[in-house]
Amino acid sequence: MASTEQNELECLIRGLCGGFVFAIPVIYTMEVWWLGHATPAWKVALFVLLGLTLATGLNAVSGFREDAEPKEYLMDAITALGMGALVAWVMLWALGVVDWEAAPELVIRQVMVLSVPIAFGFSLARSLLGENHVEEEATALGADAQDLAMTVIGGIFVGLSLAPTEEILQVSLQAGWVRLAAVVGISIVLSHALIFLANFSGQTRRHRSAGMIQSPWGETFVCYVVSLAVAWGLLWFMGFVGTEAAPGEVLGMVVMLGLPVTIGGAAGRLLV
Amino acid sequence: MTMKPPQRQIERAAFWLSLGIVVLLFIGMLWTEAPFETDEPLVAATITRVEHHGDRAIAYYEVRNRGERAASEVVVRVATPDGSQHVDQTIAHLPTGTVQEGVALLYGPSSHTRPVARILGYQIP
Repeated sequence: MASTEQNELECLIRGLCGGFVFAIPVIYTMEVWWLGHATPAWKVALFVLLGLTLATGLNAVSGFREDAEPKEYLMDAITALGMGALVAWVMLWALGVVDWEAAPELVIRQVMVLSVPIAFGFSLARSLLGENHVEEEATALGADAQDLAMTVIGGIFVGLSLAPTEEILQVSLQAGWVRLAAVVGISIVLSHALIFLANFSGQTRRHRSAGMIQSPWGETFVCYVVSLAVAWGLLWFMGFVGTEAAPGEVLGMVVMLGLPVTIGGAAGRLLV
Repeated sequence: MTMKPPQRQIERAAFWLSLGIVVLLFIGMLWTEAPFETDEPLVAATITRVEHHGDRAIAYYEVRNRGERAASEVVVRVATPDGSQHVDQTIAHLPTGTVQEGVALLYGPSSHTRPVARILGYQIP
């Protein structure tokens, strides 16, 4: 096989592996399968389009092939999404969630929802699997945008499998204001510790970065607010927050889901 | 930005295949939107706990209705994974947003494996 073709195949296999590594917890989550039943088409479409946009951005900082040019980021994101859909269908079939008799409208939604986290894994493959950690210094604006994008992506990844579960509603109903305040504190401290204290990869580079939110506590607080927004968005997508939900109930769910989403966002920022 | 596909053959094939899949999924989802406008029960069964006593397994399960409509005559099957043993139980009425718990007893060596629960059928009252 010619080396160019071999390289192309390696890139696709790398992307597939990244997709599996990133999305396997989501693939195995029953509540995520149920999203295919209960989510209206326009919400699924919006989710996929947001995923496509974020995957395009991810291809700029990681991607699944090393020689991608800026004009190819969108095309690589489409490839990631399409391959993600294929992987999603195969896995849903292998797990016995869908079969040949399943209603097509249900399978389509389940596949589309799952294709997004798999596409993220595809687009993060080089960072996830350590082939090429991005070492270049980003510009100030680039560093801010990169941090915010990774906060959203990491948050969606972790939150997607937790947001549809009953546990979030249950713990938020049980928690009083003191516990909610404690969870806010834990979220902020943990996020700060993960990025700036635990000496994971890229910590020195992060301290050097320029940008509006690049001071340690500035980044921590801004990314926490973004994580809360992601948590709210996920709960809205799942239908937990709407016109019927009481504001206090919504706040409780957002704060409770905000903790894992913040951890996911911080882990996401560490990846690049 | 022009949508020019990558020049290399495998990447180009993967891109066009993916584009086709994504477009078909969008068309398929919009085409089939109508059936989901109707309110239907959404019933699922889950094993929550299993206790093994000798050659018996006691499986605790719960059945949830997350749909917009109540279900009746919900038939739950708790079975060993190989299907060699099973117990069918019926829940007379399962309103929307509710959880019904149940217990099933399975005998024999295969009951040592973790049982599975699934919905065989239900009626719309």
